[in-house]
Amino acid sequence: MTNYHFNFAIVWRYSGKLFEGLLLSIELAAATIAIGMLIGLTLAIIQMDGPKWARPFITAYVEFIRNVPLLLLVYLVFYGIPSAIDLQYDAVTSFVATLSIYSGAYLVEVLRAGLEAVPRGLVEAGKAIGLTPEACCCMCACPRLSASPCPRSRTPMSRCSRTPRSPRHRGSRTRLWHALDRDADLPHGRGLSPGHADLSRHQLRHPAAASAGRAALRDCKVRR
Amino acid sequence: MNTLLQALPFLLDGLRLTLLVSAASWRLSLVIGVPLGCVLGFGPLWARVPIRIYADFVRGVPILVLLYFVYYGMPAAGVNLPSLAAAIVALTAFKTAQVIEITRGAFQSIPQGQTEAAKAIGLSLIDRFIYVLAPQATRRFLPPFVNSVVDTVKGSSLVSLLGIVDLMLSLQQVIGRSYAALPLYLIGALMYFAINFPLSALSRRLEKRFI
Repeated sequence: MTNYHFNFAIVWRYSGKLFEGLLLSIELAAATIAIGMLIGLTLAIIQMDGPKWARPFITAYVEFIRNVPLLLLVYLVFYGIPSAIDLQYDAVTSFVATLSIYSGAYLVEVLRAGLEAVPRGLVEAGKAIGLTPEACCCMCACPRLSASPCPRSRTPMSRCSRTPRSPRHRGSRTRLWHALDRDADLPHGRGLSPGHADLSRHQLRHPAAASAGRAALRDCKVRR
Repeated sequence: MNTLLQALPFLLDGLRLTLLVSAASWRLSLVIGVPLGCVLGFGPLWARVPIRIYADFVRGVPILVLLYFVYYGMPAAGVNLPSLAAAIVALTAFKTAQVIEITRGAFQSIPQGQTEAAKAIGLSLIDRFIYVLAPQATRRFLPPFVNSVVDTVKGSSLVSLLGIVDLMLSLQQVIGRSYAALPLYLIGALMYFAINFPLSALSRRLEKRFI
């Protein structure tokens, strides 16, 4: 720090160039997210409802991409493939393709989990009013995806920081969905903690505790 | 095929270095990150704010920028690290931010009732932590943590850009001599896959079991 002088004038002088770079970064990100979303949603729907033979291929794709470094994939597509096959493409095309395939693999997992969280009753209700399977997918399952409280993505942060939230804090549409899937949802999503499980085990052994617990539960429901 | 066999010991050396860098950084980050995460979860405000800023800042910066900052930028501040040390420091800094977040999340996702019940039966702060909070938090901590170890192994491929001969750079050096790009990159991908797949499978099993 003693004999070093920060010279931010250089940053300022070349700010145009830096800005261009930032713009390109954002453009690349937008393009890859859009294409990756398309790949992810298509494959997630195929994995949920598509033919059985397609599933192992999708799983293999997801597992391979998720477990290999991005840098290696970028090199593989940019240097590796053109050296073996007679195929020419420029750096931007190659990068957008690689990153779309990469983000697609992550989004398959996220979106599949979201689709799995769509309550069965919702899709069955769609069938009951005579929607075709495609319409059912587009009009029942997919809109529900966006409101899914916690698509079980394997991203560590989103999984750990989620906290059970009361449906009261959400919009009316979501509240309706919550009402629909009250029974279909996961127990700990509904605020049932491991503690509750212990409590019921305790109640099994002690009939007196059981009747007290039932009274408490009734009280809870009345208050809700 | 012959080239591949000749190159294999060289690639395995690179693989060893990849493993060394990632093992060092996940261990160090565990040692630093878990206490900081606990402070972020339970500590006083003046301690929480800097940790929060650190975690958010580092998670918002690409690993590559961190690596270049430590290797090329820190000498300006008088810290001259050799490339291997710089790589481990940068990866550890990145991973620590993740571990802080995972730890905080693990503790905060425990329902409040657990703490209240522990208080009600008269456990002290330390007893509450050891017997009630920590065992539950560990179960929630492990799956995302193992998952982020996979990220570290993947992130360690960027170390090659500092001139450390890890698996990535050894692949490129072999390609530079043999001009067989596609097969070598595929072999490299399989090597990374062989390390990471068991880890992510383990993470999934832990998740199924614990969460």
